[in-house]
Amino acid sequence: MITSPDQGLSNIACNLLSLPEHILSEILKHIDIDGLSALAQTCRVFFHLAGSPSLWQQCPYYRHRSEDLLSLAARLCLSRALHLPPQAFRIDDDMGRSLKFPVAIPLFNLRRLLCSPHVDEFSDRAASAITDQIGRASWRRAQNRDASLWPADIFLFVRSDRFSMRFALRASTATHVMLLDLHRFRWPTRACAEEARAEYLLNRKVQESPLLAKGALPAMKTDHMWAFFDIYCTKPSTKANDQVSKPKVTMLAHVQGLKDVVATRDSLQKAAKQLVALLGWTNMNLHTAYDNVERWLGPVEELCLQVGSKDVELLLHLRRIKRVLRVSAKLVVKDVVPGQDSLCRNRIAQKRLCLPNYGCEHGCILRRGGPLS
Amino acid sequence: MRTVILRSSDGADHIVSSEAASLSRTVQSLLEELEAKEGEESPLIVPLPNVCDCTLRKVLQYCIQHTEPGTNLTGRIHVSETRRRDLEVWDRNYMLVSTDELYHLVMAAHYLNVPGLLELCCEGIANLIRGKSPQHVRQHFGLVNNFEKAEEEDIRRTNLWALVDEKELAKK
Repeated sequence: MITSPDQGLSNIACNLLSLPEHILSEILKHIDIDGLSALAQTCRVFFHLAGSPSLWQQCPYYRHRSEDLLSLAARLCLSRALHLPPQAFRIDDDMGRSLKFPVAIPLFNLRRLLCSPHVDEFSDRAASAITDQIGRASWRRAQNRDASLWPADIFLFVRSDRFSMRFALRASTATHVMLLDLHRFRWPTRACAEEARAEYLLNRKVQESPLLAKGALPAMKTDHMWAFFDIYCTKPSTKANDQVSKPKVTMLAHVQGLKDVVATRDSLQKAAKQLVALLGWTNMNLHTAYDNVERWLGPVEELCLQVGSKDVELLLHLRRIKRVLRVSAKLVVKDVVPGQDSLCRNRIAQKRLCLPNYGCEHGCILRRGGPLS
Repeated sequence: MRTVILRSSDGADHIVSSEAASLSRTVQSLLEELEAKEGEESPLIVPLPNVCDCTLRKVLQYCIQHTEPGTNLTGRIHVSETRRRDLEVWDRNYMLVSTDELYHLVMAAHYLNVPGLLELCCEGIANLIRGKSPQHVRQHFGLVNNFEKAEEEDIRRTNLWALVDEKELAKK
């Protein structure tokens, strides 16, 4: 190699902001969420770059122990739907005003981001857009191969409310929340899973869906949940199943300091089964479902109370599940089969839902934001 | 193995094997053009007006290291496990450069289109950012806070959800 004397670096001024934008974006791909949040607070350029939705799609849920998982899910799927950074949204758990639309997202704070003072207009259009996305859920699910979360996975209805959007939860969200909470309480634990057949089954399923093991909500598609409950909530009909499920429940009882292992197991299994049933909840009366879940979770709650203050967290967790279910149960909605008289059926559904009304030329009442999906 | 001469912006020549030089897609396409023009006999001189001598030397170190026997041009697919581990250690040591040098390397890797090096440099810069508070990042990279006071507070608040520690502190 012919070398010349070291003439040093060129004198062209070079700093982080002098790098091309696509290289900066490439750099940001290597930074975790903490780093992105810190970087967004440094200057305007990084505020916009770090807010790119593509950087936030694989947001791990389990690091946010202090944030409600539901809010987090809402934040991420809104980010995906509206192409805005997830941190821009403020999720309010506002059940006081409407039990049917318990999640409220005020949009005042987006004025600067959108460079427009008319957030009411944006709210209206965004609600329509998300409703449209929810309506096309089945088509999209067939197309969508990635593991990210879409609004239809969580929300049932969206409506604009002047400067905010209000969301009605999908009943199956309760299953997501419960499943994640169970994971969060380390049930079933890895130690349990190592036992006998369960380990083999778990490993096989985990290989098929690697994100499941990490407990990431975006991966929690319906089939994954079915697979999960297939393994962990087996029917106690045969001896073999009992042998598999017993140590897991024993471990849970041990971890939580519960005395009645059998009751714990039965209650959790039944609750989980019932929640899974909510996934295919067409024609299901959610009030009944909620009553059942409450009845089955009851003994666990009682056990927690007996054990004492040690298990406050478990108790809170159970109460949260129940709260989500209670909200879901208020939405006594049955899927309306699309057909000739779909408008009239919409009217029936409308009455059941007591949603905000809009008149139509047929004399029927249509839900704001489009027909029922 | 054919050799080529890479000429930096300040006129310094570097002789490298065509294999190493071809790790840069820019050089590779230039070589193809030159070969078509001048034939295979004459020495090939590739002028690189956007890369200074010092940076070019550093880039060539990377190219030579990554074209040694056992590695392939694109992806290290056929690299043995030991060799791969050695390369990782080498890459780590290679990245022990000043921030200024790192910027020049990124720019050079971008201009010369060396995907592996670009990735490595981006990761290197990301490592410098990771784990730092906004103030530290500003200080380290000489960034100017161009937010208004109210705006800054608003952004800080919206980013609280991602910063677990800060959020817990705020709760307390």
